[in-house]
Amino acid sequence: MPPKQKKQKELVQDERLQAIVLTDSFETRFMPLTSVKPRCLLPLANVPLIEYTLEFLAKANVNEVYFMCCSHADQIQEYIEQSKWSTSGSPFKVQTIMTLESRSVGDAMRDLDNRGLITGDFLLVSGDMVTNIQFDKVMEAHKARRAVDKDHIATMVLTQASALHRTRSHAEPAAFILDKKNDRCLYYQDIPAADGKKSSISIDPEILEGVDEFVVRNDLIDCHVDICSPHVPAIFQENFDYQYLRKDFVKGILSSDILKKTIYAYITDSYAARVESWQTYDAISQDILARWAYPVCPDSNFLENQSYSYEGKHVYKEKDVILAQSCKIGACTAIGSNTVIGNLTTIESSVIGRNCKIGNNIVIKNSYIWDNSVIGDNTVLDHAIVASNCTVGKNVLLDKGSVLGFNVTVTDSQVVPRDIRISGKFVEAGEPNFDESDSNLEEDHTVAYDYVGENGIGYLYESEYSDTDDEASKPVNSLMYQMGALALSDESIASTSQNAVKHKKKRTFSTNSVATATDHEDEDFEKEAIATVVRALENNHDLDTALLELNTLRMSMNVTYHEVRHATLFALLGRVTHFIETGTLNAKEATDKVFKQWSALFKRQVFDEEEEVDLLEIANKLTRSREKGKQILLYVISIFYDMEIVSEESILKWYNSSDVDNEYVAKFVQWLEEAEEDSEEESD
Amino acid sequence: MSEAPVETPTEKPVEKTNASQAEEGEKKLTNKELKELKKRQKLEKRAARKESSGIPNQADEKAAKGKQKSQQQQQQQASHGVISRGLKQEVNTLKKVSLFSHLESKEQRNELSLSQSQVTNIIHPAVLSLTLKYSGYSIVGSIPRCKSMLRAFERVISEYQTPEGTTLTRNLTNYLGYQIDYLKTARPLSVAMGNAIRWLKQEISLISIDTSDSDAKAQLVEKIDTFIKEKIDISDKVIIQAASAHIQNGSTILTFGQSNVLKQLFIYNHEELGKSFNVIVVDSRPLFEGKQLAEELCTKGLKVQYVLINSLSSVIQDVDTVFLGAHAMLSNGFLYSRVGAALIAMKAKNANIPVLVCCESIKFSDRVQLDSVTLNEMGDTEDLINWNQLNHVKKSSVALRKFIETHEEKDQQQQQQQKPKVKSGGAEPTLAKNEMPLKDWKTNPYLNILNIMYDLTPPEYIQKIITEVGALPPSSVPVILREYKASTV
Amino acid sequence: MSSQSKDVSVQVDTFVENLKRRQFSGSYRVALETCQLLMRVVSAARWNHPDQLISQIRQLGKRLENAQPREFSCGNVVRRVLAQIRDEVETGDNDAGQTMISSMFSLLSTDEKKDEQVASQPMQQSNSRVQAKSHDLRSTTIQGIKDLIDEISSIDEGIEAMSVDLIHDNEVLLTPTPDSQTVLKFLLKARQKRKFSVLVTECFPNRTKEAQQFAKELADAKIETIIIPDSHVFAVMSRVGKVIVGARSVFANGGTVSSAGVAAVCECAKEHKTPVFSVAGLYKLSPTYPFDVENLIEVGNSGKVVKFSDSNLVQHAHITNPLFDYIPPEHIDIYITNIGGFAPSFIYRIVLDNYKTEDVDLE
Repeated sequence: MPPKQKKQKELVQDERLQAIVLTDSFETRFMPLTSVKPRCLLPLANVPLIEYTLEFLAKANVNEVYFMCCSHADQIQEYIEQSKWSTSGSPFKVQTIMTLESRSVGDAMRDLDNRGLITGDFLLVSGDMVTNIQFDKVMEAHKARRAVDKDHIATMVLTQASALHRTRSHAEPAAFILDKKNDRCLYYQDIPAADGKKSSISIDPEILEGVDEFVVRNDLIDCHVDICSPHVPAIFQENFDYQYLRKDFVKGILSSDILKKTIYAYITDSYAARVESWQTYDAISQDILARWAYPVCPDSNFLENQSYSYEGKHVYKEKDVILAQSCKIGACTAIGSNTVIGNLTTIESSVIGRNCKIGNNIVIKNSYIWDNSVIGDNTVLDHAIVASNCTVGKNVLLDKGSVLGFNVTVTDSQVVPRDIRISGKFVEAGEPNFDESDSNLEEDHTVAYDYVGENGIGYLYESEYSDTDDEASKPVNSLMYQMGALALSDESIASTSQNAVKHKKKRTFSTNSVATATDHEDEDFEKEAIATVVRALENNHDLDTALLELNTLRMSMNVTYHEVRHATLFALLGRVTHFIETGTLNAKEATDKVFKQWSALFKRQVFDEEEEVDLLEIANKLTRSREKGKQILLYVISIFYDMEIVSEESILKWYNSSDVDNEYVAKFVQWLEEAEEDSEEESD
Repeated sequence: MSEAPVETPTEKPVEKTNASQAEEGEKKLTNKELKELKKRQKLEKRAARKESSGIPNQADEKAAKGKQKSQQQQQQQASHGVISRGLKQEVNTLKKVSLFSHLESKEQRNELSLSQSQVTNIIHPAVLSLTLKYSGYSIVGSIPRCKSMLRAFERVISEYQTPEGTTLTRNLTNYLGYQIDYLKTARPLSVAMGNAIRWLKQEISLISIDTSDSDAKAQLVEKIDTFIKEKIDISDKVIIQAASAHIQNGSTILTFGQSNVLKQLFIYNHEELGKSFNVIVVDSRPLFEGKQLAEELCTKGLKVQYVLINSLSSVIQDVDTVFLGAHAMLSNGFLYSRVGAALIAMKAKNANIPVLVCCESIKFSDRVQLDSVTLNEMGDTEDLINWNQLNHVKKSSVALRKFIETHEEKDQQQQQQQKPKVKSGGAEPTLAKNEMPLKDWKTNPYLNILNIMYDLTPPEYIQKIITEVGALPPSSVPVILREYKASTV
Repeated sequence: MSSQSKDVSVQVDTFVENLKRRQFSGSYRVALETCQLLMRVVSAARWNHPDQLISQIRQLGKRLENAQPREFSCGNVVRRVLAQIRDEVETGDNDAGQTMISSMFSLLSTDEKKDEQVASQPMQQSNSRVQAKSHDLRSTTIQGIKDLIDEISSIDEGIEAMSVDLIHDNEVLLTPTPDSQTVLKFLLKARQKRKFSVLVTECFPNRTKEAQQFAKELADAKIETIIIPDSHVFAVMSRVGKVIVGARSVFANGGTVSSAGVAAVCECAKEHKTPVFSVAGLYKLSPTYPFDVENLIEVGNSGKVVKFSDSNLVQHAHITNPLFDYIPPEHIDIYITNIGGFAPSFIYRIVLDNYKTEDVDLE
């Protein structure tokens, strides 16, 4: 076999097809489940999501597959190594790439470029898509267009759907403007989540110059399957600020006069969709069960040990399922092996994993129960998700959109209301670094007795954006898709718990690499960065510009965020000192003036608790030698605190770990501690 | 052409009388023709000259006011001749399926059409638009077609003016005859339409000569109204009431294609009677009428299963009752319905599932026929070319397509842009030539496509026919027919 | 040797994966590929006793069947090879000089007796003798598989030969399985001697393109060909002289599995007393009985029935697209195979000739 492969490679050196799988979504829509398992390993119709991508790649005759892993990289690596894809019978070579520093698709692409793995046109897919497209046709179209248009750098695969199609993303809908003649993409516009308001987009007429006819399409499913030329990672490299594949890259390319590159769309009638929110999770599960993605269906038994068979009416059963005589299994249902279903239980449009125990007289509608869960008698599940190893008592109601994370226990006669997400995480983990940016951390630590009952196990999970997004997400769920309620459009990419994990690792990794970097490079960076910030301060640039410049510097000099923070803080403090020295303002006013405006910079420089502590420590060091340094430090810390750049815990942690010789700060810390006690008392 | 449409109603009917008389007796016509032969030849030449120079016929008419009748007749015939000659050439190139060569194709139907000028002169705009809708299949189904035709006739009648020297009773029938002839160019009349027309003509003839025009018109419009109400709307209601007894809670019902009365029946049982039942909609190429039904029932919240006719065997065993609509009931008890219905009735019969036909008595015909291919309506063969099509593409009329085709020949470049627009409507991605094996079927002398519209279901497959006069076995059709005739006469 | 067997296991894995992904099209190809695979497996396999080889192949057969339970040709080919091996073992046991039990006789002999023979006799044999024979068995088995490949690839010739006997001049034929290459070749062969017309159903939605290509090929061969939508079958059946059907699998009871829609066509032909004949290669003959008809039928892509973009129907209607139909034996008049024509009621005999009863269930 190996010699044969070699031969093939020699013959078709240029035809070797590479695929890059982005295993991380850089989103938090599947929290709290994704705090335990990465999205691409979550089961969809009882098969880990990534298997669908891999099956597609196998059919597409891909030769090499690279996984770009960031969050839970170890889990993904382990999974891949143990799967059939790593055996000698695998149709392609697999390799996992740890890109732990990446915080966005853009970062991953830049990392990819640095590694120089790409040899030709490659396939870029995300690890959470499901499709049955015939890839050879897409490739053919790509090549044909390439032959006509030399500037053609990417082909996006889009599925024909309709504007309010259930499988279409309601969290990230987007409109494409295409040249009617050849499907060249002229413009891309993401549409803010439908909130009932009319939104308009303005289009530069220049874009449409030289186009006979164009179509504006708001009816396509974007499954994130792209064929890219090797230029694509390079373009990401050149544009440090590109983070998203669509919002930044596609839009950027199309509106750029300099690049003169073109992107085409391939619109397919086949099935292609991406699991990017609970709403699409629901829809795609149903699509798979109803055989829209055929031959991607449960009875294809992707996993070696599966034994699904089709039973008519879109019902799938594995071996050794025990059904009580009086239970009713409705259409579009899949049941895993060794699951027991009790008398008079009704199941409809649902997926139930293996080894589940479903009691008597239960109603399960449009719900997803993963492996090893137990559901008590007379319980009702409506559009709910129950992750693995959960226990749900008797007479429980799991209302529309509720999610039980791994290992949650809900005792008898409880009601889990709409859209409540409960995670079982704190039980075994108890890790403080769960999610710093979450201001509700305190509440999270208490068991959500209201929902899980007195002897239950489970913590309420509240998305950090739940307050602001409530209104925006409502129309999505009130449309017709219950699951849509869970689709929180999360604009931030940098403040997720995945990143928390990631960054710790990064530090251990990067210490080596920083040590090897020459010292003068650091100095250069510091000088440059300070100059950048000072320039921004003096000319009153807007924040984004300053951030962009700093980020560019960081990327080009290859330094860590620590240096960036240091330089930024140094420059800001210099400004404060300048005000004080010239006597224009006193210490408090000066600090207020500078930091209230510019502290936002740190929001993009500080991502987890450890980094917050680091920031405080830098501040401590830099103020120590300054005039009125102690006062300034206090003001700075309180501004950071007010602006939620650092959390209370970080301050306490920093204060306790570092030698802070500062009576003002001591008082502040004392106040913090008291306030906390107060609030605890109150809550008691 | 540019003749003022206002003039047309007054002038044209006059010629029609002539024409219709001509139809009645060929001898008469030949006599007249002989008389005016010389004149005609002259005028023909004149007309030809005019047409080429683009002078409107109006001027000519004014000049020869007294001889309007003959003139126009000649004109018509002249231009008709030209057109039919042109069409004949085309017909020669038309392909015929040898086994089914007796059936009239869509293109042949068009052969009968009138000249352009006649169309604008005589044919009422309501009828024009209706014809387009028929030919594009945007109005399908015997009852909707019949209803829309009667509505159009209401307009025609209310805007009709009796020309001088004739009476409404005599002239209106002829005038309507032209409208009907034109309608026929789109698709042959359905039995229900034929019955309605026969009734209408009778009603017109019954109007006494003394009635004033406006009174007569008002009477007729009212009569049409009541006819629609009685024969269609109320009939449907009665049928629905009767048929509802056959829909049990929790049962599974199979239906084929789309039938107006069945749709109402299902919705009524779901919404008014609150029954819960499954509907299996079986559909077929190329019209996909069932899809519309399925979608409508889905929106109303019914449980719908949608399958194509090839999947029939896999769904039939779960079915409790089969409901079929009808295009017509023949007097020998055969059901004449959308092609495919016979297959379903047969399958159901063999599986011991009752087959019920819901059919208004207006659809009863005194025709007898024994098999589906002796008399049938041909569909558009072009509908079957694209193998990947899941919706029926609404087509432009034959005339427009021909116009486009000739244009295409002239202008190669234009062709590329126009064709996809017209044929695919923008929705269908145009398939590459090699992916359409049938694209050049017309040039292959051995390759043929057959697309007929109806088939005959033998009476032994049908358990019951539910009509507004009661549920009866197929053998009772001629009985009803007799009663029906007696009641209308 | 070990590396070779590892190679083989990789090939088996790949084959199973391909089957699961449905990357092979048509049972003809699957049958040939299965033969090739079996050849490799047999040549790499090691055994001390023929029973071990048999059980290895049985296991492989089970895996292939599970990979795509509705692709019967895999299992058929495996069973054919098993039957060959068993025959070989049996004749070896009964000494070369002894004549094989005639098929008529084996029919009468009970299964238990056979089982006893197979089970007990090898036990008595000395190990050395078996090993000496194992090489023999390998080469004869491989030769057997080669013969099978020859048989499968030349199946059409055997069937074609009968075409003239079945079609008369100016006959009108109807075929509801235009995706069958066997039917195509049969008709093309018949055209050399006869002049006739063929009605071809569209087989919408799964095989319409194939149907059109089929029609085109017939027309190119100067056969008058008429394409009809599937709904027209009843309407035109009164004009049809014979219905010719391609089979996907033929069962021991004389029933057959073919493309969706064929069952209705055959039933319709029955109603009109029109004869139906089915053309099928011997490898499509399956020794199993179709107890659970629903389980034989693969359900395909719903997107072929309704466009996925049609969101109303996608969401609210139940849409199914079965790919096959089961046709009961009473709706078929005759089977034309490469070894002759048989009535459905006689198929079980052909099955007994080619398969061993103990291999019907590979578990």
